[in-house]
Amino acid sequence: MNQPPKIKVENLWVTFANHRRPTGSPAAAEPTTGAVLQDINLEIRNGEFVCIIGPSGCGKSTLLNIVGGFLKATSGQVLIDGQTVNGPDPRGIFIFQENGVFPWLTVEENIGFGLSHTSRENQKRAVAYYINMMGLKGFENSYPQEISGGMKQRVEIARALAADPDILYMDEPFGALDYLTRLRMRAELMQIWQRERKTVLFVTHDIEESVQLADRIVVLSPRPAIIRTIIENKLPRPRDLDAPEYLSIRDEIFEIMGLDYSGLSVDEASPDQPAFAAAPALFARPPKTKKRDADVIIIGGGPAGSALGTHLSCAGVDHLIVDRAHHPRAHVGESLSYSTISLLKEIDFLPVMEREGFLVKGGVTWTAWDDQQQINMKFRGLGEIDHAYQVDRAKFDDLLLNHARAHGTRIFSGGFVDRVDFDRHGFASGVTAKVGESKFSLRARIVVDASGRESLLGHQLKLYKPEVRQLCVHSWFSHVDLKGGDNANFTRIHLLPIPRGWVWQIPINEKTTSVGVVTGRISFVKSGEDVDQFFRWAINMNPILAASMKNAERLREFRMDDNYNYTMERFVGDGWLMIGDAAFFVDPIFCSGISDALHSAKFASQAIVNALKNDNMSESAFLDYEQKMRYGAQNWQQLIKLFYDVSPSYARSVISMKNLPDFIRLGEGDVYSESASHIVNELQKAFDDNNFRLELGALLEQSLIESGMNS
Amino acid sequence: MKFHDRGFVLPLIVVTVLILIWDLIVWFVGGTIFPRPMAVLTGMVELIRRGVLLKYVVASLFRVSAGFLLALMVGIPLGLLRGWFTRALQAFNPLIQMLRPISPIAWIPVAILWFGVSDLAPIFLIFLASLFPIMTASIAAVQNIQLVHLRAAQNFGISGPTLFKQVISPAALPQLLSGARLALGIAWLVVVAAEMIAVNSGLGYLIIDARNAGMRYDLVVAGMVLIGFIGLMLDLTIRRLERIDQVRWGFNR
Repeated sequence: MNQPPKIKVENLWVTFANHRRPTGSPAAAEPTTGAVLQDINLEIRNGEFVCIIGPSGCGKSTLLNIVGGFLKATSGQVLIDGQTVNGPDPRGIFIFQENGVFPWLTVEENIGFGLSHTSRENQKRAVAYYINMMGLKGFENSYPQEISGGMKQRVEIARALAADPDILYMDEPFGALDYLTRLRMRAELMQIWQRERKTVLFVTHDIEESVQLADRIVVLSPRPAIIRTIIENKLPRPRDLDAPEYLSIRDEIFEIMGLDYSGLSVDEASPDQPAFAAAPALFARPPKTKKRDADVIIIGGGPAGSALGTHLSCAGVDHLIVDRAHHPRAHVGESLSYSTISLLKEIDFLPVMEREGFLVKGGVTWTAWDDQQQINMKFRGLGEIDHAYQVDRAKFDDLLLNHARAHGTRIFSGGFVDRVDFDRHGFASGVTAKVGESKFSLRARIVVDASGRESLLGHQLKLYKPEVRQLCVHSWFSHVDLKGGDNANFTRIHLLPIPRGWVWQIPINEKTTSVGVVTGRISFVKSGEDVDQFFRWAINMNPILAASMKNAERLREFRMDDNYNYTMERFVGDGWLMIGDAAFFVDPIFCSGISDALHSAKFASQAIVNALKNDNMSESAFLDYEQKMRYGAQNWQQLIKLFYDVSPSYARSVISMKNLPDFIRLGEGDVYSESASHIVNELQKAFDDNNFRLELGALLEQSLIESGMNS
Repeated sequence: MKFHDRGFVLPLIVVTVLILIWDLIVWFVGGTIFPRPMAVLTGMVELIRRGVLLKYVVASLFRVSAGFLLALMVGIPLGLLRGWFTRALQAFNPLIQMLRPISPIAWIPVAILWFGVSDLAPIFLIFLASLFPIMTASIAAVQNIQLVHLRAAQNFGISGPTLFKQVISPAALPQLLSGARLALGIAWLVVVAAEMIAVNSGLGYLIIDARNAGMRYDLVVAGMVLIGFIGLMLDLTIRRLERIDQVRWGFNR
């Protein structure tokens, strides 16, 4: 270790000016930085065999070409033997995937190409030696087009070795060869390397190849590439491809790469074959070892999918998330309700929330349009923890997905799921996904639709059932004046004097506040205004709200959603479940989106674990889950209907002290049971009877502060 | 030339049938000016007897060879340079593109003005006619050299004139040969036209002279058949070159 590094890569950055947008990503809104490599630092010892591995198109070839002197870095430098690399040099010879053997020279002439400066004698000797070593005897006078691909690659290696370089740069040198030839070439390369001890820098996207060859494996992330990790591979040579240690390193890399194959080049796979068998470079083993790609495939890496992934990882279930990534998510559900806290705790996510400094949500404030009163409902006393969080959904979702990844969830980013596939018995058997233009299928025993409000499976099976149609216009603002020290980070709900109309204000960070108007669609249509005017019109109906928005500046485009409130006719079937927004979506008045996602993920994980244990994937195995979800959906719909019916002044409507704790429980998201259903019915009755005409605001505040909700 | 393959039988039948049809039509129409195949054959024999046939063929071939070789000597280096130094020599592009579509025939008056009625005029025309296909092919040949071959050479520390000699030239050779074949075909077309006007020997002169001096259409057609035959031979010869080891790789795709 004391000897200086042979190759040293320092703070290497590469950006391409006219960088191509990755195909298959319609995310036009996403800015494309031109970065290819980001801050690569690497040291390679003399005589070391190092593989650089990463998804296709991540920039590993670029890195190799910079080290080899064929490309220039944007910043940073490469040192070889302490000297800066300024261009190609015969001390480090490249071996190219597309084969750089000269077709106009014979095998012999090719091998001697790099020796023109030495004596005839020397040339002859070296050529004869390497012809012998590479098993090219008898082909000395053949032309490259007369020999096989494997032999051509041998000629190129011989040509490189004959020039006696210190370093060999190999850029997927066996990528164009067939499977068996590739295996043989690897073994031969290993023998040669053990004899000659050149420093080798070998680029590949084949995990097996890297494990078989390398002393160390540098794993790059997708573009813009950083070094994700460097794995030491101390397995003795020759390496046994079936040894458990070998497989465990292979799986380790596989997990690290997390199936992060944005640029995965897969050809049409036949439907009976796992997709990975169709991507031989990724799974360079014969397909027989794998009948399916995972036990469970989760469509979508939003909060529901990520939470389910984490649950399943903890339960040891083999699963895979197919996530389209790079895609801007719908940013509703920025305010987490209190019940999410215990759910996030279960998946060990609260430390992340604290670390990332999300705004602490202490409660909810209600205002009405016709008085100046603000009603504060605090979380104080609800449990061990007396707060929830306000979140930037893009960040929150990313963290949650990475959390799942850290727990062992495999994530296939950049794949668009086209449809769920069913076998001839009507069981969900996997999904057909698209990466760029190429389609392929992934097999599983259970498919979970966590595709969010797109409800992939719901639309595919025509289970979509719209409820009361609500429309929502929302955006982010700065300079929103949320008065009131302690209550500054509360979620504000402002009621409006229009049918089913209200406005949310959710502080995202010190400077940013999310503001959204929710109304029946008819109000928007009637107003006849454009979105901007409609928004102002709505804001100005509520004096407290209007005052707080006086200096507000919009930070981004308005988003408009009009598919609020829907339920699927079924949430489960043979071999499939729906979770989160894919199953149902209710008006966000109770901030229930994330809570529903996390609840359903938890319930689904229990159902899935049981189903796999009992080897029963039929609908009957999931009926318990279906029932819970059905209660949840119905209770929410009823509560929300109640809210709107009793509105316009819900907050000042009737409720008995007796029901208050129950109401809080419901409002905070615990709606998934029969008992919850009873409470909702009782509430309904109470409202219908109209027996109690008490000021809710005062009651709520008083009771929450004083009595506590521990009972 | 030997007929290696059996593929010659069918073409032979087609030619025979066509000659028969030709004979029948002329016999049926009964004109006296357009010759029957037999008359063409006797005409050819007459030309051989008079000793002009060989003389004319040699004269035509000489002019084609001279002009064509000159075009190779000028066109290949110019084209290779133009292809390699893409940016630097971009300036020549409009000129080349403008001169290229001018038919060599259009140059005939100019050629006679400059060179008089001598061998030089047709040689100049053939040079012009074959220069552009050769140059275009050379430019393309350099630009189509595979990057991997250039990089490999660079990697071994080869640059400058050595690179030109060891990599660029051999890599460009197959496409150069294709260009040369095309150019030779054009050269053979042009020589006949040039000889009709600018000189008093050669196959072109034979045809125009036979017509002008007594409507000897048997000799006219004999000249045409000969031109066709020699053109075919020239093409076959150059195609044989494509089988040489150093260029064969470029034709097997």
